[in-house]
Amino acid sequence: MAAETGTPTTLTLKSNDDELFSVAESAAILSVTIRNMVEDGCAGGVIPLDNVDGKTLASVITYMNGISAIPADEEKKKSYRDKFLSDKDFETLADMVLAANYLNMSCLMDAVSAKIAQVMEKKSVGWVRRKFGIENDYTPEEEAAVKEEHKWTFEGVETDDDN
Amino acid sequence: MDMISDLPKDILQRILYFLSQEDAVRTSVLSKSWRNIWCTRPNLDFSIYAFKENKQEFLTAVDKTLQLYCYQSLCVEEFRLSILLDRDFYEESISLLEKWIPLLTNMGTKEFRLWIGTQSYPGVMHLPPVVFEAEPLKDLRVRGFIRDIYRCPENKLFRIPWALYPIHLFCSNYFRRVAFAYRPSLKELLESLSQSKISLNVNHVYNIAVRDDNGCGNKPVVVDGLGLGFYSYSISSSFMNAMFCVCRPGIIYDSLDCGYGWEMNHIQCLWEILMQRECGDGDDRFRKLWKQDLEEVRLEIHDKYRNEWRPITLFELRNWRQTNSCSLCIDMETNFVRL
Repeated sequence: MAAETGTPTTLTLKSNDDELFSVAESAAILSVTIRNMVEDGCAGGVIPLDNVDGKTLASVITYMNGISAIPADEEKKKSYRDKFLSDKDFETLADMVLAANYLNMSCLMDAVSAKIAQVMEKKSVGWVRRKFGIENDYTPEEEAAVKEEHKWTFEGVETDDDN
Repeated sequence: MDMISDLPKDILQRILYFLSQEDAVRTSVLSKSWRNIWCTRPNLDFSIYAFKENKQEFLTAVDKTLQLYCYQSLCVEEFRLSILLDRDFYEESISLLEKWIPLLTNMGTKEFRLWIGTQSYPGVMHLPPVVFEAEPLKDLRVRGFIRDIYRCPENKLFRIPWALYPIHLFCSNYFRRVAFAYRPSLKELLESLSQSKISLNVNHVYNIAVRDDNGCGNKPVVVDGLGLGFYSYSISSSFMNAMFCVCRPGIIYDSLDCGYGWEMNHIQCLWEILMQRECGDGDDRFRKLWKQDLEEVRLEIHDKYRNEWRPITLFELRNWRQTNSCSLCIDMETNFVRL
């Protein structure tokens, strides 16, 4: 159980590749998953996070510390999030959104989801496929049928070679 | 190497949440696994303008999509709809609205934002009453409708439960007359307005009629559009520093409260409306009525340092206007108007 008062409590988190991280409880409880563990008194020793690797967890903890150091000011928090995510590639973003989902951190989840959505905005189907390596498993007939069904969404989209 | 399709469905839904409707729907063409993800996201956002104003295609797409959600018993937490009600497809649009709006309550909609416009001008289109029965209605913007309370039977007046919804009613300059049934009293309405519970953006609105069921008997009370004029940026402010009063004998006391000081275009706009009113175009009953009943028009300027209101009459305003050729000094530092 967390100490009632006095020195800030520190939690130890363990990634699925056995890396250990120390983080202030006040920052870690941004994760509802961790907060529940703390409240249930399961946070005494090491908290194992089986779905998060060390690299991603380090990043998430950086975010936890950064965002919890900002007082209640949505503008500043938003600009911190924007800056935090600005240099992340898609692979990192995908790991982070999975971690945020597992850790139940809605603010990070939303920020990363919005960031990924931003990449897809107003882009053609072909562009999105190439960007994310999505394999088109439709037959040409099937694809044409789906397109026909939603043909209003194909107006005003950047055209490209294969679509 | 596909890095995105393998993400769990709830994460993909969250990603699609942040896309426009057309971007979200278009993901159905990416691959088979993407085929139906778009129609499970928790929000819908349909605008007629995304359909190049092809009304039939628009109505069909909205209707089919809502049905899809219904069949799957899925929540549409947020629903945005921008629709045009014109002479073409008028009946069809109304009957679809009457079908869709009751669905929203069942679909767990928490936020319904509706933009209704009409391009038929001068229009005879009336807002369908079903709009005001939408429980989750959070934001309503209307443009281009004409509602004449004298032609409208009393029980057809719009009934808006003011206290329940923070409705933002945006009216354009074509929006001449709106009739609201208002249960508590005019005083409470004005209080709600000043407490920013609701906001009315009625820039250029000529008349807003408020039926006051308690305060003034059953006689419809006419609150001048100006009287309810809140500029959108003053919504969050309870700081009032100017008051525009239109007084008519025995009918009403109107006021326009405006936050953040007056800007020249506001004064200009008020002035133009006043002048139009004064001239009247002869065949407009409302304007004639207005002119006939006009006893005093008063612009009061609040000096917050002296904490006093300085009234100015229409006559003085006109003289001032003539002699000053519409230059008005607005002291942005102190936020009050000097004439």
